[in-house]
Amino acid sequence: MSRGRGFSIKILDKSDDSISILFKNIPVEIINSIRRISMSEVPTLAIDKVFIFRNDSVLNDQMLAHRLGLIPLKTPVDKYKYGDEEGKPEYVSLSLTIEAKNDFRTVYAKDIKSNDKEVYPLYEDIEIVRLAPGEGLDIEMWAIMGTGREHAKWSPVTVCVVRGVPVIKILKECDSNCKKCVEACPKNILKINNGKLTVTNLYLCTGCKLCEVECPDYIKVDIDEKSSLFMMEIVGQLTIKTILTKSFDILISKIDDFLTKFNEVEIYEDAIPK
Amino acid sequence: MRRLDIKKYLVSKPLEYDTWPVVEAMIREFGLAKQHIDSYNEFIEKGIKEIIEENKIIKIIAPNDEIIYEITDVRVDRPRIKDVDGSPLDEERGYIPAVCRLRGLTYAAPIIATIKRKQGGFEYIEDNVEIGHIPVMVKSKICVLHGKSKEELIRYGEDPNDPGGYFIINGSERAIVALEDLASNSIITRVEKVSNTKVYISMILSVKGSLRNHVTVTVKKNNIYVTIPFTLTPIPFPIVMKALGVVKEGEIAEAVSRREEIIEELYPVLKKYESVSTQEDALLYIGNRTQAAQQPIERRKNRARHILDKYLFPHVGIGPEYRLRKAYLLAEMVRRAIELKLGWRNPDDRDHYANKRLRLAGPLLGQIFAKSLKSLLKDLHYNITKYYLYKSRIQLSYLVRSSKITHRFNHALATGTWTQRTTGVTQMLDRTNYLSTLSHLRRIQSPLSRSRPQFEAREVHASHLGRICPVESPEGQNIGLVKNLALSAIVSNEYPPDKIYGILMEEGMVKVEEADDRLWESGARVFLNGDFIGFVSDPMTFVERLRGYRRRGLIPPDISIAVRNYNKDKLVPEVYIETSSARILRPLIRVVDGKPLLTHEHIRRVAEGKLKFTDLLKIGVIELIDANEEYNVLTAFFPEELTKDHTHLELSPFLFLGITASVIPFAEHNQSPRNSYEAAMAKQALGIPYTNIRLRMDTRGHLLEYPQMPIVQTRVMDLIGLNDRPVGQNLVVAIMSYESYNMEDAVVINKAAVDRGLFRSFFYKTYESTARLHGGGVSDRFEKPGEDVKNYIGEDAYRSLEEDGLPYLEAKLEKGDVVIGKTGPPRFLVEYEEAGLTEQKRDYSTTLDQFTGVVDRVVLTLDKEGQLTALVKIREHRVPELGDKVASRHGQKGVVGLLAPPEDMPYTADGIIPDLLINPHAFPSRMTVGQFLESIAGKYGALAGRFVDGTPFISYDYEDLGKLLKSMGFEPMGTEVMYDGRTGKKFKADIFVGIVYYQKLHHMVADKMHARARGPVQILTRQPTEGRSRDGGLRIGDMEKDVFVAYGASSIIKERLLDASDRTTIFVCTKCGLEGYYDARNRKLVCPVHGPDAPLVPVNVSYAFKLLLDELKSMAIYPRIYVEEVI
Amino acid sequence: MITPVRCFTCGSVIGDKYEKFIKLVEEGMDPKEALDKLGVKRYCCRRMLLTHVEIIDEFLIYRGLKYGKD
Repeated sequence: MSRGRGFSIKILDKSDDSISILFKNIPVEIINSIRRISMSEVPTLAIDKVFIFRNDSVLNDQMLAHRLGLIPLKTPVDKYKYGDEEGKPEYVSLSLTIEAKNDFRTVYAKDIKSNDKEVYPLYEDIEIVRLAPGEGLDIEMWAIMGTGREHAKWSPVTVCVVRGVPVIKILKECDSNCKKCVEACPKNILKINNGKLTVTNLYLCTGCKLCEVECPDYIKVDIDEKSSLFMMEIVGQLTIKTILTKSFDILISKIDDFLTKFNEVEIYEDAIPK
Repeated sequence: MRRLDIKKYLVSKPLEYDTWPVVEAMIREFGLAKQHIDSYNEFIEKGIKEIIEENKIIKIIAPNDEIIYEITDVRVDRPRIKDVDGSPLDEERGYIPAVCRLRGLTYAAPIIATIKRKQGGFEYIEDNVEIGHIPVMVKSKICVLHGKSKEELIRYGEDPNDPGGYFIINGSERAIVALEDLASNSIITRVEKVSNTKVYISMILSVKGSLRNHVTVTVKKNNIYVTIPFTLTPIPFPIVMKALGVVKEGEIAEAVSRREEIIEELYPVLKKYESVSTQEDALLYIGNRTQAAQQPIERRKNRARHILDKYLFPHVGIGPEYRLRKAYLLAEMVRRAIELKLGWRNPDDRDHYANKRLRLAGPLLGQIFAKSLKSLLKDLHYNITKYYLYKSRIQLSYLVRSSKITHRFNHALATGTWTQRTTGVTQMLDRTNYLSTLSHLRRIQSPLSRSRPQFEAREVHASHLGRICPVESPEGQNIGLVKNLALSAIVSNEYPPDKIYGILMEEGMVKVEEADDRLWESGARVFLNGDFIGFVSDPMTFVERLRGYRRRGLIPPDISIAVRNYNKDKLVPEVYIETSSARILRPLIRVVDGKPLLTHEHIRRVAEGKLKFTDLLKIGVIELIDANEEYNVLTAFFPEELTKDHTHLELSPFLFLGITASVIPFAEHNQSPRNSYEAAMAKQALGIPYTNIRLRMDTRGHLLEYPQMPIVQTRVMDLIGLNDRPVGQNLVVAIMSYESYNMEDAVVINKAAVDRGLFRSFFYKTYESTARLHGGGVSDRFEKPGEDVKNYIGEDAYRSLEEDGLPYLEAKLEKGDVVIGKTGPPRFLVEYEEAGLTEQKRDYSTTLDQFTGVVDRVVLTLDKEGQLTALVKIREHRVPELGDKVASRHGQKGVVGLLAPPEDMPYTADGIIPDLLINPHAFPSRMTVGQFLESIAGKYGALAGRFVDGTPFISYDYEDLGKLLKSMGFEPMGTEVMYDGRTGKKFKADIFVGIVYYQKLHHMVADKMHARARGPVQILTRQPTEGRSRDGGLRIGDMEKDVFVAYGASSIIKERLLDASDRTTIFVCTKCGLEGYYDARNRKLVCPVHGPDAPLVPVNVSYAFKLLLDELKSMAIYPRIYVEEVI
Repeated sequence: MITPVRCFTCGSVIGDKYEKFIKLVEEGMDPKEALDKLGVKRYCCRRMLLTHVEIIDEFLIYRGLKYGKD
């Protein structure tokens, strides 16, 4: 297969927090690299240092800090320092000061005040802790950039899937009275229209082959290894586009690094055995 | 508490006849720790009075006066003690369980007596004499928590779900473990082999109040002996009968039996003792064989009378009027032994639960009370006599040493030692989680020795069904001896037998004394609580009519009415009526003509709360059956099995399981030992043990951060309140191998899941230190020790302390840091001398012995001696790590083998990355099919927003679950197509994924990790210490040594066993072979025999060897070492 | 104790959904429909909401020891 020939990218479905793309004739390894990088190597902001001045709540400091860390923060692209970048601020300072006066009070993520307007908790209604009357919190937090490899709180995606595209072949026209294969499919993909077996929503098929087991003579399910279905659902710190482009950037820079390293190695002609 | 209502959203298999509401009502009414509380209440109300009744009189005979003191009344007051300053401490002032736990107090109540004094015809009454303190069982009738509402309990600092039923002794919670005893007052026969001849024994343990006496009848080849208490030798049977007033040989024989075969056996024995012909002679015969043998004849006879009237069968009655009844009971014992000899009767099964009773809190405390009361009265007698001499009139309350009783109780409950033989009666209440607490309170211990095999006693007996859990028992030496009550077990309470007696007479029973020949020949014998009281001619109708009374609620439901030996050739039927306490009963639905009497209508009304479980007992729809009555019963397990012959139906098929066993879903699909393993492991799972954790300062405790209710439930779980105090989390589990990181029972856990809070927990440990008062105004002091203090361990270690010697909250501590700073005067004389001053202070600080920790809470309090005590609770955050132990609910335990990065782990088509990967090899040989079913059911439940009922025997099967799962759009067999996270490629096989409830067990690496390079040695042997807590070495044992021997690595052996252990250099005199020493003053080596100029050579030996030489020398043995140059 | 912020398995935020979920269910909605309505699709996230026990409320109500007559 020559480079670039015959490949195609088709966006099957898209929303604010999820996307599914069909890649045709692109090696699954590349798509999987994107999946892996987007999960664990795209940096985002998350609360990492927590200074607790007051915590009367029933949750212990460690648990409270852990919960704060897991709150997703909107991350402005390339604004904060990650790794050895220079000239960027290192952290965002956030604070949470609250006291339950006369009644029980639930502390939500929206109660967190941020020093940077661009950095804020994405989900306002996340419950952090509940306070009894008279209890209070006084907490300062630093959010820093990090990756999912270090801690899952920095991961910008929730689920990310790369899988083969199923190919359902109907080998023979069959007697429409038998609905065995239709009933066998847990996703209800197969339908009988006008006495003809048809596949309604191919991309729902996981390739479980239950229909094939039921009528092996009539139906055959294969997985197209050359194409892959890419599905991603994000938490929201970064947009889907940023995550994907960042992932590609990281992949490319990795390959670049590799190439540079490779070029540095001298290969002697006479090292090859005669 | 906010959570989903499980009952409302539980998917259960529809049952034609679902008795669940009745089961629920039963357990709600009878409670889970109820046996102990009931038993304790009974003791407080009745038992204590009965014991006083036995010893209540002190008679003092003065030269011309006689004074009689009599305890006329006794009662237990509300919990109250004297505080350290002498002021009374009661509920108002904070004498409540929560404070007792914190201050290390004993939660006790005063026993108050009214004492009457009779002197010279006058009577004086002294009220309110405190004779001692009895520990109060939490939530018993006299406990301050009794009958409190949920809100009130919370104000008292208690977890509203706490079951109670334990004591608080010196601040620690102690649970009484019920003892399993052989039934008292019933005849038990057995065959014994004594030097090749068989002897036939029938035995009875007669108990009344605190009197416990064994009577044994031994039928030998040509004699019959009776062992009577307080006689030196066994007494021949005819003599005892004659002493009891049955003098004629013919009468004796007739009392035993009218059957020729038996009389034939009896004849030679009777013949032998014809010479003792009168009652007086017989009494003398017995009197001669007592301690009174040396005394005048009349004294001897009186002694014999006393023994017969009081110590022979006290349960029949105390006094001469019962002699005839006792004679008949003795004859009955003889008859059974002879029938055994003739082979008509089988020996009684000692393991049958009809012959077992439980000894619960009440009788156990009674035992202590009776003993301590005796010693108190003895002491009182002495004191009164002493004061009488002074002629002073002194108030009794000053003479009563109430500490006698108080100390006995406290000591017994604090250590668990009842008598010298019975130890371990109380144990520290297991508070690992809610389930372990409940299970601990329902535990039963058999007093049999654990070192002997005793296979029969350890086996599950058929009569355990519905009474003792067949699953829950520990492995190892205690197997089968430590048991647990089944869910359906109900422990009987005592009912006065005289109330039954009238009914028996009404129903046609004839008293033994009035029975005619016909009844003696063929009538059924009636035993009321082991007392042979009469005959009936038609036992079957008699028994049915009696049961009628019970079924109409006229007599309590826990009375057992049973017929034995009915229609048996040669044997006469026996009717047993038991009203005694501590029998284990179980509820069964009555069946008439193959139809259960418990109708759908009943069940509906119970569910609506219009009918109580006890009402069902009163109308005879459900009966409580004990193991003896079960002989007369034919029970069907399932309603489908009912036939015309059945008399009863099981209330619910899973009720024979105990508390921990019934939390296993689909338990009937597992191999049985796996359920036993899980029953043991569920007690080690972390969860929420109690909600008042912030108010408690327990020495150790765990708390799971995010506990969840299992999706796959059993009905029992919700009933016992486990869903309010859960013990695990629902994990997405895939069954597949992962790069060998999960082989041999390891599991791979998703690191991202751990990052997000999976299985995170807290570990709490409390460090305690008391500032002791040494007397003379000297005491320890809590402070931050300065450098001038002896044993100062460096500034850094004290960095978390504030001036008062206590650490500030949330201070981070590390191993070796001081948790509580305390100084005090040096304790040993040597230290005084060394210091040269007496003013010198010494450091007595407490240091942290775990790796890390954060100060959670600090409490300063006065202990029971009025000394200042500091409690510092340390908290440690435990994030799951490599080596932590987890287990599913099917006995599938494993350690974490890898925290795998999520991107490397397999994912499903939906993108779900499992939380946990378990190796498929864990299943074929263990056959825990229940886990597969749970997995499928769990996945379905999550998708359908439902909880799934996995109650054993009445839940969905595999096919149904598969259909349900498929309806949610997943493969019915629970498998899914999965992809390898590293390559993105599909796995060839479909992987079984589902949701399984997993528990984090309290064996964690952080508690066990240990290594040592150098460290402390034992003082005596100079060998490295043992054990992690003492920073000990790792032992090269016999087996390890063999490895090196086999390998020929002799230098390693020498290094590990000598150089790295207790090598020492001694100097041996080559002339005499004895060890010399170094004279430091003259700088010379000296031989003890040959003096300073002897040829001494250094030799490297083990210090333990040197010790051996010293010991030999101390025993005047001359150990000689020959030294030789080798190279 | 209190609702976890994220689903353990997939990491999607559920910390803001438990209050809504339990409210819907208490209003009489079927848990399944309530979960669907809140957009909780996968079984991993669904079990988080379904099986959660909000024990924090039971911990909160202890306001020190108040015994005897007030």
